[in-house]
Amino acid sequence: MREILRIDLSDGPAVLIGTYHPPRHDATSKLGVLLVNFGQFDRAGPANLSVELAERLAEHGYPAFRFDLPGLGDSPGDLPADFETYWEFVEQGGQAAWTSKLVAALKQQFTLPGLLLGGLCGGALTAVFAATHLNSQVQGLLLFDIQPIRSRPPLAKEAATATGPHQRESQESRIPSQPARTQLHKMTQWVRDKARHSRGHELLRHGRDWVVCIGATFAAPRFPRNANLPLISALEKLRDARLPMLVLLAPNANPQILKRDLFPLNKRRQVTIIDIAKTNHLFTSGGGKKAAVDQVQRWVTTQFPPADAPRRVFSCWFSRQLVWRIKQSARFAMTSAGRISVF
Amino acid sequence: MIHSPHSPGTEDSAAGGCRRQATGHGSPSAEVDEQHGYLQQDGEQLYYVLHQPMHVPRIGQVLLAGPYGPERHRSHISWVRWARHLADRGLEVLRFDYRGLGESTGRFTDMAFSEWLDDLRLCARWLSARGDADGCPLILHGWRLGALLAARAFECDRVGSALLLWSPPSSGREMLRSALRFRFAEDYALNDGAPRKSAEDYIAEIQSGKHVEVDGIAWSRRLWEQSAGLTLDLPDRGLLADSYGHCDERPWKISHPKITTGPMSLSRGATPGGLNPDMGELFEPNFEWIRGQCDFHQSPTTHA
Repeated sequence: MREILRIDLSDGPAVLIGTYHPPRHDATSKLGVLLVNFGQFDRAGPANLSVELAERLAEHGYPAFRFDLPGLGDSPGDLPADFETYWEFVEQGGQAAWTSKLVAALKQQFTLPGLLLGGLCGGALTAVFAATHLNSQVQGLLLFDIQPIRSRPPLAKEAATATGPHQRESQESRIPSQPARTQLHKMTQWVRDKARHSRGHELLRHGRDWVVCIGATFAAPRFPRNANLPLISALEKLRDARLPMLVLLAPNANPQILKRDLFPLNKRRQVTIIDIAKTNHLFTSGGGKKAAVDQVQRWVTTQFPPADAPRRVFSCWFSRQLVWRIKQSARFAMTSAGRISVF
Repeated sequence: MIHSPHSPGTEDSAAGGCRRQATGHGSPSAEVDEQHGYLQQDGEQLYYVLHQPMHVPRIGQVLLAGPYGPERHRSHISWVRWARHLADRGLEVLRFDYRGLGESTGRFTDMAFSEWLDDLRLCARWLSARGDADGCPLILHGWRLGALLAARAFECDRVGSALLLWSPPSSGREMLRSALRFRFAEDYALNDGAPRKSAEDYIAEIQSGKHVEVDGIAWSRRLWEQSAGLTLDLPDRGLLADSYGHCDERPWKISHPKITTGPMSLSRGATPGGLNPDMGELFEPNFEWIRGQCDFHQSPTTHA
């Protein structure tokens, strides 16, 4: 039985409306899961993705919460008239303060040891920004197709005055000269076209990726001009703090920034990146919704196993240790062989 | 502070409310009260939000029957604004989610038009029970799928004293066929190189009992079969209709809002022009029509 929750933010914009999915069985010490709005969608998410995710986790004993942030869904509040202003606000972490208060209120009210925080697209951005403020209250992140680039290119004035740990650079300038770039484009295009319809296309694709990877390994992470640098800094901070993160990526989601620059293999110990093939950004096609829900359930039950199942705890711990050992060995072997990392 | 009032066993199983200062384009400085809860329907929870006017006399009631699943998500911001717009002006508004969609429970594949029509009837009964004491008129307002269902309830069940329809499809089948085109677009974009299926292929799959995913929602054979029987049924309109459309005791109006901007757009081909655009041109005339029906219902002799 779902319940409607209403949270009064004492110093915020009045009231947040949400839905609580109680765990199906007793979960006295289990983590909660909070899903915030997926972009500008209401808290049910596109094609009820958020609802189905919360239901699945509740079935496995995790109290799940879905909330509308101010102005979205059923929660009162103002919204800007245009998408650009709204996304600018979200991409700068504008919803993080409300989310932080929400996490604190839920944790206190339901006596939870901590929460997993998640969202899709804009919701993922908000989850990342909020997690940087909340320290131990957030014990993991569920990031659906997070976009590390801004929806609007920065103005020249902003780019000129921007300061930060990262150097802004266009993707194109990574390639040294025009003739070489042209040649590479042609070759890449040839490989891509050929691979698509040939038997050995998988091999060719991986080969192409490895070739690109060798060059990238020796270079410091550099991000494109429209990269969301505050977000990247926040993700790096959480990565270095070893906060468990599940990143689900739909096709065409700038994977090179996340996989190669932000979460290279040697810094990916607590980060799991999974590609969901043949779906769209909202996971509403090609069976993407079911695949995403399955992956989240698998990751959550493995990373945060139920406290009342000691045999499963041991099993999960053992399997995690085994996987970690294998990864370490593979990483060592690859490092010794010439510092090759894989997408 | 968290509020979760819960009283199992009652029809209204859970309800939480909030007061909201009205904001937005051209709204008066009224305050509205919003209550969220569930109605019990065949073992499932039917989610509703009741928008009540505060400090403004109640002039009538409106039951909003919203669009079908994917369309619901794209139009939700505008739909909520419309409900608040009406509540700010003295109307008690109830909106709800069909079972299997949005906040209501139930598996979508177990639901079809007959269940959703039952949901509408339940909400109408529940809302009427609140307003009967004051003799308030009940206006049914449906949009897309909601328009089909509201028209059916209005004509066959004699629910409501007036009917307002936005962009009704001619039938449930036409609505589904229109939505099926999105599946072709997805196939074109995502299944590169794979053989593509036609509409007939997908329909054959559905009729053979398989579920076909369209825009993230799995269609069942039962949904498809029922869609043919749900046509737009409207009462005959008399020849002597006045400016409010009154020709008998129960007037109705069809409107086809040409909205090509904002989340309210149901056409994917339209260029999104805003997240929360000014809807005054749509809202005001429709509110005036609703108010006209309420005035007529409460003092019919003055309009005769």
